[in-house]
Amino acid sequence: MSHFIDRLTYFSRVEGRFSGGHGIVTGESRDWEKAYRGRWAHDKVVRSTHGVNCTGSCSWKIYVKNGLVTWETQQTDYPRTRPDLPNHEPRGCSRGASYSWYLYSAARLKYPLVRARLLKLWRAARAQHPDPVDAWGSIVSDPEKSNEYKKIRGLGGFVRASWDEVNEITAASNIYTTKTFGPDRVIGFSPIPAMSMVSYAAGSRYLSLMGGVCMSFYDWYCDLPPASPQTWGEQTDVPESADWFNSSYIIAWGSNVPQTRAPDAHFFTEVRYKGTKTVSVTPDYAEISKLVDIALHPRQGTDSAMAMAMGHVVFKEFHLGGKSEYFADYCRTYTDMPTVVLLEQKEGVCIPDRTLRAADFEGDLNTTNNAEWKPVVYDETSGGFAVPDGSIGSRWGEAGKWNLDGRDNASGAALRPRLSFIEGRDEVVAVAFPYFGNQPHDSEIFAHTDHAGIQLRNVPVRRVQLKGGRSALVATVYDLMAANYAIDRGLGGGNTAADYDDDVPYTPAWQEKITGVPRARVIRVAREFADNAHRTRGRSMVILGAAINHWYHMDMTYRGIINLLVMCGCVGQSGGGWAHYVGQEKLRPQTGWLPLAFALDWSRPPRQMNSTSFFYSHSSQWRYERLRVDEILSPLADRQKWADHSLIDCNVRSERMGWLPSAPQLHENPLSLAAKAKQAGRDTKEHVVERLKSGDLQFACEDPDHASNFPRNLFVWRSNILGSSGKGHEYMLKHLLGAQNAVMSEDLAGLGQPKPSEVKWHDSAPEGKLDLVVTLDFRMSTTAVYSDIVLPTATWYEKNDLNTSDMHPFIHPLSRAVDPAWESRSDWDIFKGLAKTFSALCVGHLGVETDLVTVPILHDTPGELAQPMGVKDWKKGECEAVPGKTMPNLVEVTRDYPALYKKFTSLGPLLEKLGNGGKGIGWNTDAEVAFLGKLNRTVTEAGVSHGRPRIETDIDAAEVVLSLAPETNGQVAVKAWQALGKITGRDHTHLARPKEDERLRFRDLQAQPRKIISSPTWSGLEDEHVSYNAGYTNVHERIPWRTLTGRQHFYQDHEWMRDFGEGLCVYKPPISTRTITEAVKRRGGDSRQIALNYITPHQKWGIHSTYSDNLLMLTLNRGGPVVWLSETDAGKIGVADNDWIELYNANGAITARAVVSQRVPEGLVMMYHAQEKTINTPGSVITGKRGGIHNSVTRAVMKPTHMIGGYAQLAWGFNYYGTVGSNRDEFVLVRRVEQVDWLDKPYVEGQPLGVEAMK
Amino acid sequence: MRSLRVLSRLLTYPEAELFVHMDEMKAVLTGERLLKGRKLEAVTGFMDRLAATGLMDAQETYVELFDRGRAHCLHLFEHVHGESHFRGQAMIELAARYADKGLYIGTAELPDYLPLFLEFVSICELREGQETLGQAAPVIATIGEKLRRRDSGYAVVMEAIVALSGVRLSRADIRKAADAAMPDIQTLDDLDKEWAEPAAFDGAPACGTCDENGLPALQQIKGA
Repeated sequence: MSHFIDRLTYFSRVEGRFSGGHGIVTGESRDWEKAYRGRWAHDKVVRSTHGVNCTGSCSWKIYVKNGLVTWETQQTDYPRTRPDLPNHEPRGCSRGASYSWYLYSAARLKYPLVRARLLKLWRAARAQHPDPVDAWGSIVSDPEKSNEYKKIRGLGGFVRASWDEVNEITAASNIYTTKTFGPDRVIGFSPIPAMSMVSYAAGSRYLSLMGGVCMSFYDWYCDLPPASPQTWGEQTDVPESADWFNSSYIIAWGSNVPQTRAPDAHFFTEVRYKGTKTVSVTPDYAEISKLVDIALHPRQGTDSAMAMAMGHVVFKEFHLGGKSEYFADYCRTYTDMPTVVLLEQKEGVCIPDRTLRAADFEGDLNTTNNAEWKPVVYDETSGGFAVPDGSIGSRWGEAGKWNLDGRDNASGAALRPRLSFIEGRDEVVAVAFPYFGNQPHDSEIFAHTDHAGIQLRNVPVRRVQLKGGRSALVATVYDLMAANYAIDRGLGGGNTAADYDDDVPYTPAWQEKITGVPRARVIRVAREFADNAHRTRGRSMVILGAAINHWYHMDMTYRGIINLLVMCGCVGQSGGGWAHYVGQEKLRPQTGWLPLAFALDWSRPPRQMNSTSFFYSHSSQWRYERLRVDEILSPLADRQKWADHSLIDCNVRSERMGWLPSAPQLHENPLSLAAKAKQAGRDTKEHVVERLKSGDLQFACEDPDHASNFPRNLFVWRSNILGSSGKGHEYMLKHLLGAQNAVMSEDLAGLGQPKPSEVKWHDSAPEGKLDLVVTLDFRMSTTAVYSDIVLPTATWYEKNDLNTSDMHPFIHPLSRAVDPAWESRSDWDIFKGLAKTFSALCVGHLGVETDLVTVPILHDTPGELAQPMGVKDWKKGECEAVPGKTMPNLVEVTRDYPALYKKFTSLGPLLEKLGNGGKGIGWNTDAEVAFLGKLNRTVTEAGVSHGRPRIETDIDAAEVVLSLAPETNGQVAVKAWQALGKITGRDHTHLARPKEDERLRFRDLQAQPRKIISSPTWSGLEDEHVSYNAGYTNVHERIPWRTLTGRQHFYQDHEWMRDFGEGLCVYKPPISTRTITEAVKRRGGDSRQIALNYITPHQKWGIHSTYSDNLLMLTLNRGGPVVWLSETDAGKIGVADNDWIELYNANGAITARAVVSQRVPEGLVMMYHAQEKTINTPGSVITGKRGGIHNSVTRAVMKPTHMIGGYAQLAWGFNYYGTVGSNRDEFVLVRRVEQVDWLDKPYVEGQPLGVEAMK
Repeated sequence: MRSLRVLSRLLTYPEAELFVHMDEMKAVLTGERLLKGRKLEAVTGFMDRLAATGLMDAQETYVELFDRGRAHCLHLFEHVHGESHFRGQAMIELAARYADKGLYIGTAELPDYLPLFLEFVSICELREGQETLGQAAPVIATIGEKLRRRDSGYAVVMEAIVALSGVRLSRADIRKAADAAMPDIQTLDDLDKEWAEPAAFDGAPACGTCDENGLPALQQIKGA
């Protein structure tokens, strides 16, 4: 046998084992590989995002196979940043990743649902009335019938219905309401358009074409910091998160970045590797504390005391101490520090009054335009008083003068405004400053001091000769600030501190008693913060958030912090400034979106309303008000003037004087007013003014409990208004819905409180004001549960839309990866369908009508120069009633109701006729409209829309936004900067020229997130060299802030501001809400109960406030509602971790499990925001009703200073200024629940709706 | 198995048409004789009671039971996969089985919707149908048990389906599965166990928690 033949030349034998026995060869089936190979196979990947309000705006890959979404992963194709700056990705968090479950979940809404009792009534009515509008009227005009379905709101009983039928009911209800009561009785609530702006626009376009009311959200959520409009004339404008990386000192003040800003938190950790120092300020041991070098823990709600003490240190060392030339120059140029303030002499002391104006001088200091609106400075160069360019007076009616170049408005000479009168002073006088920190709080956890309510401090002043031979004492804001901070300047007098250890407000020693923070730490952080800003020219930053904005006196905390930033020259500098991240407020292509959203292409103005005042009024929360105006007045105010005012009275006056908007507007149907004027042979506007003056016609707000003034129809979409965002939840249930509720409070009559003087009192309050509540959602939220009609919407992977955030500069698409499941439809398609039905059904009821719209005096319009010198009420005969000047403007709008659908689906002609724009800048947009005609094609059908660009689909709508907006169309950006340049007299077009030919289309965004283009709508730049930072163009392009002085305001000189002691920033303690009365305590029986301060932060296991009801997140968060409390407090009432507890006060009750944690300080309970009462919520023993939600124990309490209007930056704008829904000053009683009752028995007819009230 | 077609109709949202055809459906059940004795009586009794209910009341009951929440959700994979990412793949595989028979879903429904699944089985040969149905029987029995605990008449329909599958399940197992669907978790260890995922590559079948046919085993039903 030859080895040659035997041996295998080409093969080797497979050995069983190899590598010394470490390897083994096996031959079994490899079918198992199919498991993972198949698992990751897909047909297509679609880019979408989650339309939530977490500000994440993260790009996701949605994998689709056989028409089904199989999973999603984070996208990682963001455009790169630049060398030495980390990239944005990966964005997206585990909570977002849990979303795909919603598509096919059992919790998904699949079919249109209607309350069965309503549907029975409807079908019976339809059998009798061939006309659907008549059918609706027959139901709601019969209290017995309407009560039949209203009283079981929230108690189930839904059936499916067809789209045709729900559209018919809804449209019939809208038409009936419009015809009978007025279109302003049809309201819609949808928040945060930036999350999904086309979906928002769908509803708001429908409402606006009808004349219905769009409700604000930012103020209602209390995410709006009114301090921002007060200081800057801007709602909120903040740096993108990447700019954190440019900072070298960051204070995270009440913002829990790693928990609530998950996709951005990496910048916060990364910047520490560069040596940036980080500080946190939180009352609890919040997650942010782990990322910082110094953690400060002031008592909750007292942050402004600490901010004031830090201001004391900074002002003393760096301003008075002259440590920083940079700070001084910055403040002279960019702030109102050199502005001169009149001092009013009263009973031997001086009180800071309004700012001195050109109009106060003989000859108006040679200015010719708006002299009453031009504040004055003292010029060192010429040695006299002068008017600098850039104030609000030079913004309107004067070209090329509105800038911060620092020239004299009359002569054009260069000015050097003097900061202090200490040199060259005429006198030193005692000026009175109010002190609020001596007010004892009902709870001892909030400490007070015994300093006098009026603090007299010496201030250097000048005497000045004014018009008519009058002479007055004046001081600079700078000198008043030094005195307000109580810094001893060697001018004699008392109440100032030479030393940080002096017990004088506002020293570091003084704040120790209130906040509990050691003085040395406050001094150290203040000093380091300022020193860093001085060395880096402003790279100190404060990240702040809702936690400190949700207190009644949030303005004092915010202004205390803003003062620090502005004093240190941080605002408008890379890596510096305020970073307020609350709510996804930044709709970047704003001016492209506005015409679509509010149908400005067809009619102007739209009806808009501030929600806080609306809900306060219409859910009758004012009937239970326990806070009196005199409690919050300044000790320096004229008490007599405010004697008969309650909070609701202040709001009524505000509406009447044209400050805040109204909805419903007047006591009569606004469609009837023109006809009545015509009958009288009068001009409508004149006729209405006359009738208002004579009292023949009233504002609706003067009698909100009258049936003519009820809001009748409510649309809710993209929102959970009754769940996560309904402050005073139980009051809403009771009065708006007429549903089961747990209101335990007596009303004003029962409490023995004085009744309002401006509002008509009815002994019995209406319940069930709303005839129809329609909610669009993809899940059965708490709001949906209380609605009459629930419409299933497409999820975020089933519709086309746009999404932007303030946290990064990219614009994202939401994409239709799959068709909407079951019967769901996109918001766009739902409202489009409704518009079609409305147009068809209204014929015979509504034709072409004249609607009279009342419009408040608006910010960023020439109208904001309305009431320069003081507050005058025409109703009290203090001035003439002049629409747009001393009262709301009255504008006639023609509505073609049968053409509503045609208008909805096309782009109207007003864009060419009136142009487009925003924030006081306008431009011609003919080219973009013509382009859209080509892109979307034009309407060929006859009618009003013939020849107009189509807006049929959600993509058409997105293209309208993208084409019209400067942020997404470079040519528009150049036009917008040109338009601004005409006003400022400076050329700004270089900011957009490099991107002039860039135009973003919807499909471009689907290919990759795109960075937007710099536009004058925003105060920062989208640039390759700097990260977006608010105020950047104000500082670097010298564009004024949109305020009275055109500078950043330390001083608020409006009469109401001064009356409430907020001319300069002060410390104000939390208010006493008095919702824990003896009667409430008695309800707890002999169980151990404890009163704790109640706050509602954002949660870890939920998508911000949007949803937390999926099993993954519920499992990580104990499967239902939880409340955190400290070990000490838990011990006092015998509560162990995970026990069921009950929280209650006069507003209502909550049942939840206790999380007993060392994280929480004594005296505080925290209930994470937006836990649904639909999930594992048992009954409350106290009320016998379901255990409520986090808002069950709250009630909105309004603040008069937020009602100011008609005054430069303090003029109203939608979501810009107005009353806010604060809720953190609230207290609850807490006790252990022994026996849990799930209340899982069906509703039995006759069960009581409410809980017996108690004193 | 036309009887299954009848049961499918009974589990569909009740419309006026259903009430019109009640007698015809009964005739199919009695004629086909796949369901017998007490099971048949239970179903016809339920049909009588349903027929006596007002249409809108019947609809209200249906929405309350089946359109809201997970407990009696008629989408089978809700009970198997919940919010797991396996769910999409499982649905795709089920739809592929329909496609093998030349069927595609002509309405806006998902492949795991029980009435749809029953309609599919009703088209199959008896043996194949029973086998297919048998795989889903544990889930259906568990839903039935939960309906019974709510005193819902729909429970008998579920029991009838299980009977038609020919699978014999122990009452104790079903009760246990229904209990497990509303777990009374006391400790963190319990929680971990409840949420433990199977190892990805230990030879497990395609969808992680199903058997080789893409359908669940009784012990794997979870979630309330």
